[in-house]
Amino acid sequence: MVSIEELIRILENGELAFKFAIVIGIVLIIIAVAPSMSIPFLKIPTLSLSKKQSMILGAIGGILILSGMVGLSSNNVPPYVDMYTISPNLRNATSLQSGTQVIIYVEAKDPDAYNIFQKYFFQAIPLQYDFLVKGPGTNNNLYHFQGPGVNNTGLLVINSSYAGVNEFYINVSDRPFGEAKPTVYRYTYVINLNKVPTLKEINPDPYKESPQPVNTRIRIIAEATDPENDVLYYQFLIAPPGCIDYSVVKNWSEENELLWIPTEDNIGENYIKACVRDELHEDQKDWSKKTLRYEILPIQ
Amino acid sequence: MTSIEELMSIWISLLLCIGLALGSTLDVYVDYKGNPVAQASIYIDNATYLGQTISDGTLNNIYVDPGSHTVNANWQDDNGQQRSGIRSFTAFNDSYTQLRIDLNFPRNLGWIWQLLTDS
Repeated sequence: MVSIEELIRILENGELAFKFAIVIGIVLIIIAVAPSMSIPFLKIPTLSLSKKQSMILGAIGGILILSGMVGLSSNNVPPYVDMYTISPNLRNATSLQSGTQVIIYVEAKDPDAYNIFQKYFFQAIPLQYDFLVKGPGTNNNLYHFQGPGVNNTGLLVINSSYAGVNEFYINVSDRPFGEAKPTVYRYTYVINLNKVPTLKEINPDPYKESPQPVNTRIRIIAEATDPENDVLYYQFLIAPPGCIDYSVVKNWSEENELLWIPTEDNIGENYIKACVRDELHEDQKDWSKKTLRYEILPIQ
Repeated sequence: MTSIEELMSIWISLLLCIGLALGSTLDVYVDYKGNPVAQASIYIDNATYLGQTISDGTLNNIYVDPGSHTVNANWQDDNGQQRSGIRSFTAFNDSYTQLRIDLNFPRNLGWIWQLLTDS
């Protein structure tokens, strides 16, 4: 059965007009069924109502009570989120790769789901979800990355601009957005993005400074650093004299050295390029690069 | 030859790596008529007892394997009546889930539904 607390809650939240209608309805019914009882209380002259008049008064009272109850029941209770999932888990201060897709999945419940008045007379609509983010990636403005609509999954691709404190908002409503105030949930996360390594320098073996004659064994060494000390991968390319295009001479590996034995084709000005990346940054735009000019001389 | 200690160390490292790679965290909140429920017993997948909720109605930082799970909450109210709620959810790799389990029936005219089904 409905508890006293529940009844009090409904009465407290209901519109005053509906409560007033119930009170008036009760008074009318009392007057209709027991006029002699009501007169001393109301301090008005005795009413002599005919049976027909009493029935009409009682009917009006009944209609008022019913209307008031319908009105109180139609008081819309906002929906609430009862399941929230975020992947990856941004609560852990793990560093993310730029391009990571953050998925937020929510399920909400509408307390009015069993309210026939809400369902049939007030045209409640399927729950509407709206996903927003506010942070460095949005210049601290609210940005809708999903919704508003019935889709309860929000997808946001994180790029480097999102590094820092981000606020995610999930709005849920059982009315079209703009017509009623939605239920708002806010989650704050610090997004740490994995940083790219930096190629500090590219140098030949100290005893093999440019220039050197053809067929000399030359070691080219690339020095790089990474803020997270990730495993680094190096690639070496050479543009021989007269060429503007680089060719890969040593593909990605953990070795930061290239053993280069120049041929006669390399006589002249060569450009040696080293690239470095970590495991999380395979995109070319994230590679750190440096170029070394190296002259090869013909054999004397 | 590899010693038992080395093998154990490798095995523990492997377990830790798997845990870190696949770990998913769950927080449960139990509600009854809009109020948090303390000392509700929480079970996962029908058999495994996870613990009891604290005064704010929560049981936090539960490690779960990726996949579908069912969480039950059982609680005895002041009148000695046993109340329970159940929720299913899917844990993803490296995800975090907040789950609310309601032990009450819907509000407003939900009490009619309760009257019809509570016998």
